[in-house]
Amino acid sequence: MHQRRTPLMHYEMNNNNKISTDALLCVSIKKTNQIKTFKHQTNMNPMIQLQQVDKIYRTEEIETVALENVNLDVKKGEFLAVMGPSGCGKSTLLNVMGLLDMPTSGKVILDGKETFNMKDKELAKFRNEKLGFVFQSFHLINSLNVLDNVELPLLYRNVSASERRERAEEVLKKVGLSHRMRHFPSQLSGGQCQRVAIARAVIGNPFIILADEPTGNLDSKMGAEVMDLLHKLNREDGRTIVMVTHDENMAKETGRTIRFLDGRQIS
Amino acid sequence: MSKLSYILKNSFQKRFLIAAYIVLIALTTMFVVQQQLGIDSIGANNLNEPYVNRSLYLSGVQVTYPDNRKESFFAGLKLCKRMKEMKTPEKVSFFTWVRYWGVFENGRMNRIPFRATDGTYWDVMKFRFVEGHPYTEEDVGESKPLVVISETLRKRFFGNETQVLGRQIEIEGLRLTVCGVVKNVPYSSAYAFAEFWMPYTAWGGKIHGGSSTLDENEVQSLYLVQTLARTSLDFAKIHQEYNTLMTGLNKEIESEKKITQATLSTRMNYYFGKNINQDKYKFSAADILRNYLSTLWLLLIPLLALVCLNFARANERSTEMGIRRMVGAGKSEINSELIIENLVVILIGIMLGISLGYVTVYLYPFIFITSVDAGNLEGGVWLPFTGRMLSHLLLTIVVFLAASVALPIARVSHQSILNLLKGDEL
Repeated sequence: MHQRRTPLMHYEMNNNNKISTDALLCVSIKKTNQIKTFKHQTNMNPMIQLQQVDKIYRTEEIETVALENVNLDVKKGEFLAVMGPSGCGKSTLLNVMGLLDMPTSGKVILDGKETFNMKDKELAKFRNEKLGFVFQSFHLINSLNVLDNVELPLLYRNVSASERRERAEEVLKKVGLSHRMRHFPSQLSGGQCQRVAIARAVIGNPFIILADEPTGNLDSKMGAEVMDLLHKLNREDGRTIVMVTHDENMAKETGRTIRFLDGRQIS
Repeated sequence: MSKLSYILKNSFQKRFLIAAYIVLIALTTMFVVQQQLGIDSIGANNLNEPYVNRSLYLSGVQVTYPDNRKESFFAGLKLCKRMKEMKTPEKVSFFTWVRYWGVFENGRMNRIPFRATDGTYWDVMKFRFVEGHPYTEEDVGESKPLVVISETLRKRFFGNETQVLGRQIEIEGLRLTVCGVVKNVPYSSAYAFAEFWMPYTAWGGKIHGGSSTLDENEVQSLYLVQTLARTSLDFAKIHQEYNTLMTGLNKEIESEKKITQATLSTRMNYYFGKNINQDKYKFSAADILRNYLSTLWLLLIPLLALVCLNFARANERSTEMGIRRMVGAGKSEINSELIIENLVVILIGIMLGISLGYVTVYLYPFIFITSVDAGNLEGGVWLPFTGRMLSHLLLTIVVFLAASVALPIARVSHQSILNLLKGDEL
């Protein structure tokens, strides 16, 4: 059957051929040799919505289209993998979702809120309360110890010092780094740094975690540890996770995988 | 940990950079303080000279002879006594610059600073008499050989004797009777400092050409004149009266010579004003600006160094600022954090610099002044903290703060979070 792409969501069957029941839409999809058609049944808003999003970088000499007409919905509690060759726009997609970069055109709607007209203060508040970031290069502040790094988001939420400390210790316990609280990033292994970054990403109880190649700088063992942690956060805490990865095996373990090429979503 | 201590803890991690910052600011502040103390020691009221800000001074007199020969010196008795008759000032006094008298003691010649004054000197200055009283105008008129001595000199001549009033001291053949003992005067009191004071009539010094300082026909001699106004608002009137006096005086002496320059001005104007003329008795806006600029030039090189330091710091901290923005700090929050961090460092440097400035100025005469007899510095050095000093320090803080935060704030404001995270240079 001819694959028809609609301006709405694409769904992929999960490994057990069960469709997520959170929301259903009128789409046609193709997965291996199965074709299903669904009707929209619920009005529950997706956690992340991108509507006709373009991102174009312009210099005096050239214009680079990083994203072109991206339409994407991510449901609450979903674990979405984004794959594609280098330069296809995966990281740009994550940056736009995470309000680290603004689209040239189109809408980014997070948790039902349009972000287009938000002022700097509102965007900062949104990032602080609803989003958590995990990067390939960890992005920890080297002059702060583990505890201080993890507390950082709460500093901008006017949480008291004692509560910050309590929550940081709790979350570090969860990621298995209680014994390294006073260490500095330079004294930790790559996997430990990434776990600190994850701890920092979740301390504020964000709804959405955006991970850009979180295992890119790690060996397979450490990478597996980090993935376990992310899965735990998704399964047990119900957090929505969007992860950019080059690793097919890791992508298969997520709930859904989408692919990009030259700024466009191809599947 | 409070947010402030969080910010400061992070900032002070880079110990070497912070130390370099603090040292730079401290040294610059030290120079600013030294410069301002130098100015204030001349131009500001002090312990022994409480009326500097409402006094006009005649320091130099230039005469021109019929053959166009010019001669510059200080005021002579004829001019001094004429000025004492002025109606507008509250008081007029004349006295010599500090002079030195040699005393042979214990096999060596020591020089003791002294001044020869009129009786009104004690009204335009402020001395603390621990014994006795000053000589009066009447005493001066009668050429009484009286002397007021400092505590140091008292100890030197009389040891621990309880009663010295009425006792005589001999200095280069002159026998003077002690009528008063005063607390030691700080070296920095420009027109008050000395170890003993005597009536000018008892002194009778000689000036160039052999003329006596007691010659009442001389318009030039060794005297300074201080006119004390009721308020500085009277300066214009005093100038008017003075100009009329000078016109009359010149008419009297026109056959011999003419007084071509005899500026009556505030001390600040005399030493630091650009245009020395008789009507300029207060600083204009241009003078005030020039005064600030004279501080700013001191800041140029350290400012340059600070800006370079900040370039290095800004690039290094770019990623950190990106991370803070990423986790939820707004631009204004980052900017205020940057301002607080830098303000704390600057204030530490400023406090250190103020301390260094005052200590070095205090110690300077003790280390470098060799022509003053040991013991003459027992009055110490008066180190005021004037409004001018405060305004220059505030200017220094503002300039350093602007130099410290301008670049990082520009970076935060104009760079996207992504570029900050990448650590892109401006």
